[in-house]
Amino acid sequence: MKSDLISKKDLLELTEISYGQLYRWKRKNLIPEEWFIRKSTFTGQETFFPKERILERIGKIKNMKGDISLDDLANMLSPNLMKLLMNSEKLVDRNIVSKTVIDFYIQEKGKTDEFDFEKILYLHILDKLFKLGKINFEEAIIILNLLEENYPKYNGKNCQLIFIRKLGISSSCLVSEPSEIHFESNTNIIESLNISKQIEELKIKIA
Amino acid sequence: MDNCINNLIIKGSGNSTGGNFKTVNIKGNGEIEGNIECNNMKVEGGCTVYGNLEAKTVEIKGSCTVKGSCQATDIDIQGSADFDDDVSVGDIIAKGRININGNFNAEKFHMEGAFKIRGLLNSGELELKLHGPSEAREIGGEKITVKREARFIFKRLEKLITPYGFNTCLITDIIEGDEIYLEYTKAKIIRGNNIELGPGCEIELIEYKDSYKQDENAVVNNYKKM
Repeated sequence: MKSDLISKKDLLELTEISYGQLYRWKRKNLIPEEWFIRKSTFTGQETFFPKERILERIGKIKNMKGDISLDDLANMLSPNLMKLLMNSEKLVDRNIVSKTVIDFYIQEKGKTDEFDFEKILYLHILDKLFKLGKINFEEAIIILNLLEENYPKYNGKNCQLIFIRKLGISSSCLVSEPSEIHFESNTNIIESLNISKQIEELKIKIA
Repeated sequence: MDNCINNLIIKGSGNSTGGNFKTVNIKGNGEIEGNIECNNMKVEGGCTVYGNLEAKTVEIKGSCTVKGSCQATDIDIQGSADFDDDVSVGDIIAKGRININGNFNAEKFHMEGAFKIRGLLNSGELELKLHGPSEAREIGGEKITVKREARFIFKRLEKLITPYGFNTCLITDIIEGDEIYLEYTKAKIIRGNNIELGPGCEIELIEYKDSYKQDENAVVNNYKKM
């Protein structure tokens, strides 16, 4: 939702990568198609990128490409869900989500032995919001129900979780990306989280 | 795809609704009215796929039209191929004519003939031998080589039909890559590390990083080192 853009030329200079590398990463889907924003300038068509996100992504690729292959990296950075099951002890042991969140989930949804990636993602998001002190338990239920009911409808497409509060009453919604959303002035946006980014973080934690 | 044991074989003329196959073999004329997934696809003659095509290897001798998107590890084309949507492929070798209405991704793209690509041509290794007017909106990659290297028989035929060189060139807006060698190319902007221009190029702006060489028969309006 930020309109801060960087041109391709500046990007390459700043990150010291070549055109070839940029195009290779694009081919491997390390850089999503929707980040390539074509605009006409006085020199003709130029390509721009959302500055913050592309710089972060390129930093990540440069850091990690020595350790794993580009294909694995693409898999990790893609917003697609992983196929895996984990039990609660393992999640806590490996420090993927905190015990508090798992207890909270079991208390709300009944006993669960194994968590699939989607559930772990929801827990990860809740965990994050708890740790930031943005929500309380009641509000967590709202978000959890929202995610469980509606996130699968996006079918792997990117979306944004927005949590708002107005005069002490809280609510939450999911919007597809890229889109613009405006609230009236009394509404406070407590947190807005990009779900693909959360998936990425989680995949790195699990890997 | 791997555990599928069915084959689709059309000899003569026939159609299929599509699906998963081990091999697809079409000799004659075939129409596939849906998505198709297979290990090997071989077309000798003509084939139209109305859905998406996903295959490990595709071999086309004759002509083929794919209305949906196409994904493959290896493609070999002798003849002509039309793609109405995006194409992603590992290695592609083509002799003849290719028409793509979407974006085109290939690790290796070796082509002899002519092509028209509406979107971005993104290829790690791109080697073109032009035999006719070709077009792409944008070209990006690591190593880009464009030559006009008519074979003997072509050269004589070409001379008979058209005065030498008539519109046999590559037209594009932007070419960006690491190593670039071009002949008979008309482009607005070329950006790269090492750029070499052969005869017949008409370029408005060149931005290079390491080296730049130019044939005396190339027309360049402006060039600068970045």
